[in-house]
Amino acid sequence: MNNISRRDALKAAAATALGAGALPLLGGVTPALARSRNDAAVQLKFTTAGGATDVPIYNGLAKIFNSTHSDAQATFQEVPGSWENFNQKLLTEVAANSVPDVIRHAIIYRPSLIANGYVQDLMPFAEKSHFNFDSYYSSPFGGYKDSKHLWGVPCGIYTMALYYNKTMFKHAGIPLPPTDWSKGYDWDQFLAVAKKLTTGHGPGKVYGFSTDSDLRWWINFIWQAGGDFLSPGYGRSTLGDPAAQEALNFIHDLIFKYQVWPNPVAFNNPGNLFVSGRLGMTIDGNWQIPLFKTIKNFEWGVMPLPHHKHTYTGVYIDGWFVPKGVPHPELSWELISSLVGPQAEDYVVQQSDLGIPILKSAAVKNKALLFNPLGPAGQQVWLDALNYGHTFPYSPIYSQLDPILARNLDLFSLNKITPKQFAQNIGAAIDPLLAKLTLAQRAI
Amino acid sequence: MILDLSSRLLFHVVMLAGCVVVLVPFVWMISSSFKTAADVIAFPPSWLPNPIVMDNYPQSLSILPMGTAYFNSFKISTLDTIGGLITCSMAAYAFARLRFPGRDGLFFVILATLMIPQEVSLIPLYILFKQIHMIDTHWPLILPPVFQNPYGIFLLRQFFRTIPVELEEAARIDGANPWTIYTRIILPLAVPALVTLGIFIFLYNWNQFLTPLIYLNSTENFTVPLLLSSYLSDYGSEWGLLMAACTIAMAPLIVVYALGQRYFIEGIALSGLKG
Repeated sequence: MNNISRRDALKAAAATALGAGALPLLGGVTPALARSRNDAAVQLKFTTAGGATDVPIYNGLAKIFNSTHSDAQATFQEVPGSWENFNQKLLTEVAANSVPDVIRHAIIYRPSLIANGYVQDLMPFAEKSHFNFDSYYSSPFGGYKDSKHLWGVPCGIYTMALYYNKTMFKHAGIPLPPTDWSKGYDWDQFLAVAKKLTTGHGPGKVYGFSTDSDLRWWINFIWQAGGDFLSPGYGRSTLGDPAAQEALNFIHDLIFKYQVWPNPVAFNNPGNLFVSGRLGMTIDGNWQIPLFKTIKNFEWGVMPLPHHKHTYTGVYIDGWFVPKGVPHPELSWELISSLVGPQAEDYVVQQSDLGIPILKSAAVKNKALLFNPLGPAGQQVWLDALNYGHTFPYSPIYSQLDPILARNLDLFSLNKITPKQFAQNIGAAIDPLLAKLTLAQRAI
Repeated sequence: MILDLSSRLLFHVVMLAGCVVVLVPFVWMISSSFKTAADVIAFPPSWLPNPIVMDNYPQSLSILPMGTAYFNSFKISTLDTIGGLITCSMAAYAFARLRFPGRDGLFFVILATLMIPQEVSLIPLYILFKQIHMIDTHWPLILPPVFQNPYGIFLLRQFFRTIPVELEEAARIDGANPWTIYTRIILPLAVPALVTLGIFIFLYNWNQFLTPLIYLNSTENFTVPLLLSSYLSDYGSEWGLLMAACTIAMAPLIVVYALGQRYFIEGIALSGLKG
């Protein structure tokens, strides 16, 4: 076997040197080069999961901060895709101690962010800067703030209501529904309307009602019956309790007995079904308004959720957080203050459908712009929903519970298990996990 | 004769049905790229867009830097392909032809790495690239696929072993060293396998989502799959724009496939049957 000649070795060395010289060109701009272009101002990055159409809005928020700060400049980093994608990226960055300065994260991840110590307590900064909590709605701060800590600052408020196909109601001769939450349909009225709206058969069948096959949507019925998913302090699953069972039986009947709700496994996107004009009513959040705005073939409206023993609707509030280990926590706090400040809140309402602002003055001042194209009555449905808001019991281990819930919801939707078995399966799977939670985790 | 004709007819009907199944999503994608968001999800679905919306294409190109993403994906996939072919073929040649202590054991270890899910090495690799200041650059997307491709090594090793040893022995008698044998004898004879592997590497890296998501922060560094997912979010999706962007993004893959179709199929046979 021959050795490689000296000439070949020299050739290889020259090629390597040439390659090394070209490395920065091929790999894109390195952070080191990018840093050399920076001026004295501290560069802050804030990020969230979002669609392409949200990016200009966040860029606008960065501009608002930058126009009032000479010592720091903020830029928005888009993380495309879902919250799950975003969380995966975030956890990798946390593990490598390479986190962005400010993040906006979904409420579903709030307990785990706090319980795992991934986010910074902002109370010292809020106190130091005399942050005026009184100018904000207090209820959205639940879960983010207690007497000693401020783990994050809520951003837009999202709630759920009952969208309905106004044109379909008129054709069916059903009077338009009330918009007052205290006078909404009870379950019997709701069922009667759903039955009237259900027409036809086969692939073109029109259904009276549907909602997402997800406990966070179904739980509205459970709350209305006086039940919940977990006991206080996340001690155990309470889906087997009589109130929750009543609601689950009602859902079961809507799907299988009265068949006013298409099979949730076969029709897993009720939003699309509603847009296509094949659904009379659907429970969903105000985040669906941008999609429903595109509907041209029929008129639609919004009404309060049906009530039973109680009137409740889910409230979902994402939050701005400062991850632990950021180099300039004071400036990160300043950025958050700006993101929920008067100028930014006005801007968000005027430019987007990103929920109800948490700043009272912005919500009042821009009331006419909220929930466009709904009229005043529809707008009021969303605003009043806050009075009936209930928060889903996200525990710090919700990401472990979610697949268990999804699997059993599918079995329920396929009529393979009864509501009782559904509750038993979930209890058996998640109660042992809940038992492992520490006292501190239960307090979140 | 009649039996032969009917079996051929049946064969063609089955193949045609298969073709329809494969093509329907593509036709649907192209059709949807000319529809409004509401029409995309309308029921019953209509194959022909009415009204025809031409705006989705210019919009999908203008809302996000599609051209830049295209360039980034092309650059990364091309470098991965070239680099991967060089390293895989060198390693494969060593495992197929050179004799050295622990060769088979080492090959087994490399094959065993096929079993390790990508997620396991994600955080250690991220920390490594952070320490050498390569986060938000394309290097983390280029270097690992170039130096860590056990499938490519395996595929080429199997192919190299089918090349007659006599050719090498003749070259060695003429004074050729291993490098010369590798470059002058083995590589020219392995062009079909190299093209096959090249197509695999290119397509795999073009479609990568997780690693670009983790390593890239700046929109100007995004690759095509990242940019496409910008049209999807938990709060609603821009279906018309997404379909237009997908149609644009698919074009190079179709070209790559059309050019190397024969090798692609051979590659499946090579890795599937001879492995």
